[in-house]
Amino acid sequence: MVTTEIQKNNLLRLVGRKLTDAQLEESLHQIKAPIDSIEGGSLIIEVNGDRPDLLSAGGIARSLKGYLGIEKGLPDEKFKSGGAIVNVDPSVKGVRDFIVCAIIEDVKISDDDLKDLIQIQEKLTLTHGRKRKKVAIGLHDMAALQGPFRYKAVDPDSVSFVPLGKAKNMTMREIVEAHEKGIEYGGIVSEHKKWPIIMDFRNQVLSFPPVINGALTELSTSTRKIFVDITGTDFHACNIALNIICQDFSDRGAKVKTVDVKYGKKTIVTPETTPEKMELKVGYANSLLGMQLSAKQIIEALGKQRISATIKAGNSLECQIPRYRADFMHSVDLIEEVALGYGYNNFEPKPPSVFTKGGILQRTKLIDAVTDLMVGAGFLQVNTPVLTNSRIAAKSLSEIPQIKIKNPISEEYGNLRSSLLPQMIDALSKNTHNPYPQKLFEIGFVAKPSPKSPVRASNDLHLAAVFATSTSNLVDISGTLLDMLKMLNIPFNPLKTGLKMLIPGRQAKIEGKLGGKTSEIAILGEIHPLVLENFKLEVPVCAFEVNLEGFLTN
Amino acid sequence: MNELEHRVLRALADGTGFISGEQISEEAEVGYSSLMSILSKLSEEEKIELKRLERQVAELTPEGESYSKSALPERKLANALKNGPLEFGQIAASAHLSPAEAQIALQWAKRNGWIEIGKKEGKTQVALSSGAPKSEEEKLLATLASGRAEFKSTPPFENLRSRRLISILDEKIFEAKIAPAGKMALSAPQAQSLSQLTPQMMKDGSWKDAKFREYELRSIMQPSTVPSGKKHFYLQFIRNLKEQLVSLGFQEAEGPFTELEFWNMDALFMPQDHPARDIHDVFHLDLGNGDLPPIKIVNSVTAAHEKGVAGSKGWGYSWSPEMASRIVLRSQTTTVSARMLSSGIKPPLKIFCIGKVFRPDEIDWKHFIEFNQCEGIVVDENMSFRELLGYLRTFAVDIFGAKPADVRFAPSYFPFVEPAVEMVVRINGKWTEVGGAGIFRPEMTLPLGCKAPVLAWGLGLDRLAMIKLGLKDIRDLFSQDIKFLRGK
Repeated sequence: MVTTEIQKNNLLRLVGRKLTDAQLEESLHQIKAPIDSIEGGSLIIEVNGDRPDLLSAGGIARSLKGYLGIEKGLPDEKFKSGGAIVNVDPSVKGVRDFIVCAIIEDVKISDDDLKDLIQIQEKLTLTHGRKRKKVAIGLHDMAALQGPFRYKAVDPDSVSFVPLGKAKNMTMREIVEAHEKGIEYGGIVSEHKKWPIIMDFRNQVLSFPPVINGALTELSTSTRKIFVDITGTDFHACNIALNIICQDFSDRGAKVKTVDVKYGKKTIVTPETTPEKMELKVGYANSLLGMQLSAKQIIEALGKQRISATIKAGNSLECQIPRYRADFMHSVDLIEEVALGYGYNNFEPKPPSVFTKGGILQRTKLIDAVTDLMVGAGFLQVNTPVLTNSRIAAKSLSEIPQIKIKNPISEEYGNLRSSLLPQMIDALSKNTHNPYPQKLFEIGFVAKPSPKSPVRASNDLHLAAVFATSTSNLVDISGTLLDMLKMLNIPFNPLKTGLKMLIPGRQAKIEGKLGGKTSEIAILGEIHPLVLENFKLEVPVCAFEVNLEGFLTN
Repeated sequence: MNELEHRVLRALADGTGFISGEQISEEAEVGYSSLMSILSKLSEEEKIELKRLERQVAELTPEGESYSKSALPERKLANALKNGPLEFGQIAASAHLSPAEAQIALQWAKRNGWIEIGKKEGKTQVALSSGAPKSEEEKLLATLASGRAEFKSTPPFENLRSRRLISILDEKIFEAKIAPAGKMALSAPQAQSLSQLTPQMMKDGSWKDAKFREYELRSIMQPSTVPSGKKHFYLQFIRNLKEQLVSLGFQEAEGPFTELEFWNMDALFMPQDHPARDIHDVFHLDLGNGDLPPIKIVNSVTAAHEKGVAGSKGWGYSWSPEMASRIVLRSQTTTVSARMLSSGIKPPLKIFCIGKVFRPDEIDWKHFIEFNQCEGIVVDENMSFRELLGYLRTFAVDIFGAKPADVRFAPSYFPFVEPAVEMVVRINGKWTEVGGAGIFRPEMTLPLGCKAPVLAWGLGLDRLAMIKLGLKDIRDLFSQDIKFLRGK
């Protein structure tokens, strides 16, 4: 999800109707462009990945007009030929395969429009364009250019031009190494031997996509004619971006002209204006929605979503979808449009109709039993995150390896906990100002590397308890643990251990018989003074930790 | 009259005249801090006479304290003179005094009448004139060394004060004396009441004639020094939610939180270049690659992505098994629904899962990178969008206690559902987004082997718990403050 900023006055002017703030807020929410916040005269709008066409005021206005019934069905999208030609050289294959273009005439750009244009370009390439990798957009003032144009891949040291934001000539390689946009986006093409470039008939550079435009074609408020280039790795996605931009200009009153893009002998006229066709079966729509809508009602609802539909034979509809929409893959996508056009809040919710038997997991039952026992023994339950760090584990002299996160947001939360005790001791260290005795417990998941598991990690449910008071010793806590094992009918056997976290000779591991097999199920003991010192604790602490996983199979 | 009052009266009756608070406390074995309230009450009942006094007490200054341990300078001088007279200039060195102290020593030894000062061979000489008996100042210093004493305007006090060896403080004290009504109360039969029921009394039946002493409730009723245990408020909130879902016919399910990207993304029909799969949106684990599920499922998911299924166009790209087998922390519990659907389920079926999910984010009062999600699915032939709205409204009414009029629906977007809907509920007068829902796309369900429509919904529980439990900071759900946890 991204946010886009539009001017309220501009939007209302494009819609051609006055709306109160409450009406505007509700309408925008219902057309998938909810207001995130309002800053003076600007609306900050949330836009999801399925609707890049709502990134501009023009796109939102178009949808809003449908929702409010001002205009229905396909918007007018008939573009005449502009006569320009772009020749695509085979050298771009495998580097950045596709280019689609358009020419915009009779452009009048105010400062606000310019800001808008830059924003649409940025937001579109960020989300829909996957940070320019899939789709990049260039807008050029055509005044100094002369067609036909060429799109080809060249040796990065062989071509130089003045890039936007700089005053001197740079080679493409210098741009990637030194220009801030080059550093940011150069990685998309730099692995190739030849890099893509767009030039005019006189070899003037329009753009080094997807990195930077030439300074020669920079837009200004005096620009009257614009050349749009969209390059990328996905032809369909490029076309959608082109149609979004062209429709926006068209809505602002400019004239959009097509361009002939020649891939060898094959000529493609862009932007494509014939609407995409998709079939929708009335019966399927009704069954998925739980409604009995007539074909006419469905056509009416689709019309509000700027989709035109006509009845075909066999109770099915032929729907025409505008080319700026990116999200039609299956007829369920049309069914959502029907629901939106009908209005989500006009559906009468149907009470649950199917009877099934509910139940909780064995695990939940075990957690309940253990929680009750620990609370009954006077322990206070804590809840600490699964995400932790190696520091707390090291301070606790824990010897259990932790799983690392490759891309943590901070070291504080860079690892998964492999045991509960370190965080419990840490919890005690945050309560030294509170009266003793302190008895805490936690039931929670830990993760440990487990090469045989399909996910290479175990996700085990553990129980841990700590008891801190001036006289606490092993006896204080072993009773609670053994009571629990007795209650759960688990035969057990205490054995000597040598864990660093606990005082030598004053610790044990408990072996239990679970599902007929003997395995280690718990450790207990008195926390080593070194650990207490590390956590600035001045009272003795005794503790235990149990792996509850085995109890589930018992 | 309770036991403590009784003990105080008894102590007063044993003494004569006014008895100081300190003495009562000691004899009645009642803490000095609670004594005042007991005396006040007895005085109100006219059982005692109570006097509140203010007096001046003397206390040693640090200098006085140090002299009390060694000796006053004049004593040191007298000790030095025991070996014979000394010339003026020899005094300081012989008596181990500073020149200033030597001056003081001479002055006070003279006043005490311990020494004579004369001339011998033109030089000033000091000699003992008496046995130098203990002075009043020395006696007082010794008394004060063991504690404060009442200040009296007598020469020793005044002298020590002028020598800055003591300081004078104001102190509030009280004294009490038993009154006739108090004596009456003591002789009343209640005075023989008992403090404890014993097993012996039960055995011999003497409890029948026994009277038990009343407690002084305010002094005896104190919070326990060993507080009782307590369940965690948020985990209880989650547990209650499970109960509600079970009552609506949902069966609990679970799955790992360290998860294959396959289940977190691919099985949910999210293309491999989807922005939500970006490194900034999912935590990747340093565990190498995991094992993909059986090839049949992998192949059908691959086909759905590359070419589409059931009339869908698909995403039209080359699907990478390598990427799908990376291991991440799950970013949604839909992983569990996907695993369940692939396990060969038979409709009708309602399943829910409450589990931890993880998403990189800035941490602040309303964002944490680890939170609980509640996810549910309903699988049956006749499921529809309208019934999905019915389930959502049921949750809002039954679980969140909302009125049907306080439930609204808005469009939404999740890559794996269509249509997608978001429920907005008025909680505490504020419209709040409580969850997203939709019908799983056929491109997701068919490859997993499920032909029936699947209604799906998910709620972020932490934000909801904040609202329901009135928390100001989402991090309070992980608070380790014992006082806070006991208070919740």
